[in-house]
Amino acid sequence: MNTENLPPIKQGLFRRIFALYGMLLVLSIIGTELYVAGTVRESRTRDLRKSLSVQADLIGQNVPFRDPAVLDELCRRLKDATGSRVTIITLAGKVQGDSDHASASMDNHLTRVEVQQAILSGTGSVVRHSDTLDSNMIYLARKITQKGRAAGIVRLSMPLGDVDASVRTLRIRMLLAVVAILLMTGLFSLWQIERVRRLTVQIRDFARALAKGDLGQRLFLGRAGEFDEIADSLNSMSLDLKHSIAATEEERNRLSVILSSIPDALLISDAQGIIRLTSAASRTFFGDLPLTGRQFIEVVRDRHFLAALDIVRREHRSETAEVTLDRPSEQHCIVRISPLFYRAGELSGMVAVFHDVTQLKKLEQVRKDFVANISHEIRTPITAIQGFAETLLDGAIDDRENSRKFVETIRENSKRINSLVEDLMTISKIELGVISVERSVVAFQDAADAVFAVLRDKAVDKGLELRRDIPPGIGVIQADRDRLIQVLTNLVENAIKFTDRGSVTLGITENNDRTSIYVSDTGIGIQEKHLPRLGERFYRVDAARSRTMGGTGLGLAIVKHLVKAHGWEMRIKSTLGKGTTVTILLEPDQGDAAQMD
Amino acid sequence: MAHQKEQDIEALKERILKMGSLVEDAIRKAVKALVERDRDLALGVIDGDAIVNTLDVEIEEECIRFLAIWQPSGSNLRFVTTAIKIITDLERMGDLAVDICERSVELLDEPQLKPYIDIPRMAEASQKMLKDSLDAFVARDADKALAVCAADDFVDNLNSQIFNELLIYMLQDPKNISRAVRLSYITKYLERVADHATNIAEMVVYMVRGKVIRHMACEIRNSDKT
Repeated sequence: MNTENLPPIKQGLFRRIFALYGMLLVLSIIGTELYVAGTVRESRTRDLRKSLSVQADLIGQNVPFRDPAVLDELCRRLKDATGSRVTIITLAGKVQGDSDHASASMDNHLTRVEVQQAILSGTGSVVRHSDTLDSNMIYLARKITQKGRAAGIVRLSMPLGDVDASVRTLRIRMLLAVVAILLMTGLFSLWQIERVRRLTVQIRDFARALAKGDLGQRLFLGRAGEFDEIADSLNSMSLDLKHSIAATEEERNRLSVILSSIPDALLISDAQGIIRLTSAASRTFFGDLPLTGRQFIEVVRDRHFLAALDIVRREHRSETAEVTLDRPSEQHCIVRISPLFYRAGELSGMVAVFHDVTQLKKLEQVRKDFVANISHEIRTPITAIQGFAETLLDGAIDDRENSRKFVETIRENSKRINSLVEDLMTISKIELGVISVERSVVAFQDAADAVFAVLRDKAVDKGLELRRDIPPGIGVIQADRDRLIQVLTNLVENAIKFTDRGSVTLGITENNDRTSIYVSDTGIGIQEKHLPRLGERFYRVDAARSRTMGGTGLGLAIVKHLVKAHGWEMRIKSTLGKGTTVTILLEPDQGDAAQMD
Repeated sequence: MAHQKEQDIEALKERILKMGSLVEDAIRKAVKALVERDRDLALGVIDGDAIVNTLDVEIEEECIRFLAIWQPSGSNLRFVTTAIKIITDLERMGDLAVDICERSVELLDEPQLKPYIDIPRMAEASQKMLKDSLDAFVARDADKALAVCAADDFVDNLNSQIFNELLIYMLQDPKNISRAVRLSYITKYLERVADHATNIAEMVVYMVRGKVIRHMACEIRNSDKT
């Protein structure tokens, strides 16, 4: 079928084997023929000689040697009876009678080999070519003893033609047999070769399919003897391969799942420090920087990291370093580098795990700042109180004019400590969840009035205009009135603090079915880098300025918490020199509540 | 054999970047020591320069050994020649960090002349140039390197601006002169750091594109870029 389409197997081997066996066959048959022909010829000649010898003896007993005249006639009659030429010779070699020729005309036969042998040993035999008959003749001479003394010699001769003919027949038969056998074996071996070739092609194609990864198929050859064993081994190999490849694949999948699911950046390198494998999360640590094929140092150029890397390489033990990555954004990481050993004692790679501790660092910083800030915030007024109190004690108390000012300063500072403590209490209450938000329907106009009533003086002092922006139809919101006023007061107060001229606007708008409150000013604005940290406790854009205005650094933190407690959202937008707008997005269903009312 | 050659190149790159990271760190600490008036930090940077100097000598030897053994051509040749020039610039920057620290230590004898605003800005810009030039070297990014060259003008302008400011301080009160001159030295050092970063960036362009752009005006470079 499809095996025919594929390139055939090379036939050289089969041709050579076939030629070799054919040659061996021919040679052995020729050898056999030669041996058999020789043996047949010899045994035939021996049999003939024996029978001739017996005939000669029998003839000799009845030959009347002393009567030569009848001998020719006797010989002719004997030939008729036996089929052999019969010659009777005297001991002197003279021919006395012959069946074929007239004895008188024949020469002396004493010189003939068979005659001489017979005179000497009783029997003589020779095979000689006869010119007269043009064939090989066997001659047998026998010395005849009559009445106890040698009487003469009887020689019989026969053509060997019979023997030759039978040998020839034998040879032709064997030749025919050889041709037949050759034909048969040829056909048989051609058939066998074709069969083996087909099996080989099948096995080859199967092996090729295996190599291509077409696993799990079975090779079935039918009854093919030794080839069945090969097929069995190939089948079990295919199965084993399938299993082991499946196992490898599973292992690889497992690895890639692990690499894609861990949240840390994981870089695995070879012994040279060139990165070979990375976790999916590495992207969030290193941005679009290409990683694999790079050296560690190309990716992390940080001396602490390098020092750790050196230690891992030199001492073959794990090492931890703290590094700051700046791509795509600044990240603080704890990185642990461990050596990998695929073989004992020989460093085969390294694995570096980057764990993001930016948040932890931030929290740590916030805590540190908080402690530092709170002690600072409290110490400043206390120092002032202490200083003025000491000045008073040192005698200023009698200075009517100044002492009053000093005492006022002391009161101012006490108030500041008080407000600080109050703010802290508020914040910790909110954080602990003690303060709950009691929603009710609040008219925004009322809240704004309350806020402006408190802050009007401050605004007037700085020459600022306080504006209200309340469009008709969205005047009512759902909120905790007191908390709302607290939030708005803090925001407007902040705005007044950081605005030197122009106005502060408190407004409410509706955009995309979402109501939002905003406080905007025409003040100094805030640098963009400060925006994310606004609302942290004691975080101040300009610490000196804020403190001279009596800020505690907690106002916006409180606002942030209260806004969050309402489930609202606060956004701050600012342009340096132009002003700041703080927007509080109320929860989406506020609009409905307002309309229902 | 080719494998060994690549490994040598990688090893060379690693050491250059190591040197770069040390110099980056030294300059960052030098500026911090100045702004925060931290004597120990300054002295630490001065001590640390020895490592940078050693690396300079070692890397140069390695480069020469590489040239002798492999007789490189093409990009490898450009890499090694670039490396030799880059480490010279890095070594000089290390020295400048030491100089900044020495002036900072001297400035500690007197109160701070003025709040430092532009000097940290200038330091930030110079450091970014150094960082970007090394990043360009790592990424073989000629465009990034050209951006570093362009940033040099900003630092130069800041330098002359700060100088004018310091001049006013000196004219106001002769007692300011010694501090103002030291600060002016420091801005000069930072300006030099930026120049060396520019040199590195130019060498990176040469390494990537095989084209020398040194001593060319910015416009020509940019027109070349497009």
